[in-house]
Amino acid sequence: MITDDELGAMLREALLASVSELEPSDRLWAEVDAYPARTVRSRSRSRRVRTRRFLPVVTVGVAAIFAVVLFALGRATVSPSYAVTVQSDGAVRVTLSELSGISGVNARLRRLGVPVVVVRIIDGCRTHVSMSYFAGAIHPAPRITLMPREIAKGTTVLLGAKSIGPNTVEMAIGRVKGPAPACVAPGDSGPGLASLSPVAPSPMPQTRHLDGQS
Amino acid sequence: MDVLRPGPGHGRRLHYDEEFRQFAKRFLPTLLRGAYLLTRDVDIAEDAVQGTMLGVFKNWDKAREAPEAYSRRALINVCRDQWRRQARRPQEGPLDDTTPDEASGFGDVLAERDAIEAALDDLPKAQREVLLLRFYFDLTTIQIAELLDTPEGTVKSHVHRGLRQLRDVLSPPQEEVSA
Repeated sequence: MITDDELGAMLREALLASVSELEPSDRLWAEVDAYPARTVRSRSRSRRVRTRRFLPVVTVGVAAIFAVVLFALGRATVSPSYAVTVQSDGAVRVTLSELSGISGVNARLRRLGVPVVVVRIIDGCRTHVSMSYFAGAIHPAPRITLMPREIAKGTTVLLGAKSIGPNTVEMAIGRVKGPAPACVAPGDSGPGLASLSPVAPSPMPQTRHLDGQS
Repeated sequence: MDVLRPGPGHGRRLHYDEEFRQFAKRFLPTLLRGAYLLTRDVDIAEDAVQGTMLGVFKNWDKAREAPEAYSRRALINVCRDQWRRQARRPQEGPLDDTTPDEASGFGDVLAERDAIEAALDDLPKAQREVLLLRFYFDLTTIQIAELLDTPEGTVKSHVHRGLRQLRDVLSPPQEEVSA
């Protein structure tokens, strides 16, 4: 009979392992590193602002009204950010329109028992995986159709995703043996390049079959 | 000749800035990983850590005595606020959800880590939070009780029940013994 202490130790180990590859992005490092300098600047600026207090109050009031209007509009027009559908031939189609849908996609894929995981492409991530584009990879809602039975046993298919503009997601495909990493690093070229500009999507195939061969 | 000299607090502030930077360099990855476990979203986790570190920096006079504990606590509060906001927001749903005709038979290749994450997701939120605080953030049950403003007995009960529920995922399969 396993004790709670033993289970706790196993859980601790599993939790540490599950996030070991995750590293702060360059953006986060830069933000945090800049706090001391920025706070010094804001201290000196706050002295100047005190004499002009009326204008900010008016601005905040107007901004609050706009925020309420936008919030109401936002609630009215919340659109789903992902889809996972199973087709009659067993193919699974993944559509992702916003990165916020990643956890939903993964939960759905997990429930289906399909070894496909969507991970974010993050600057600073220590996991480097060779990934390539598929047609329609850059699109407000890139879509890929996979044939699970053709994925080699023990292989996890990775779909790398990165937001590269307002409502525009870039995706790449790769695979790993064993568990999926928490994130993948951008490549030296191709998928995940921070400077990559969105391009018009090319016609995309309805189904892409993975042969599972290396 | 006039010489510009920093004020009396200037040297101390520079020292504090450097202390903060050293702390951030050492502890930022741990904090981000903890935030990810709590929020399960890298972007939200980064935002939470960014906000946490700003608060830590602004209160560095106080935080520097025990910066790890201070920032952990601040992060947990930020993530709990995030959860509350998420709970008020409409849930995101699938664009077009269909049920498979049959299971695709790939359950056996799911990674162990995915299984643990899925098992954690299945726990009631209070249990999941307590388990993460206890076993990732290494807080004692008393510290968790104080942080969550909950009786210690409730925390212990969440730990026990949560672990029991994760037992099948965490423990290696037992070998069958033949007679």
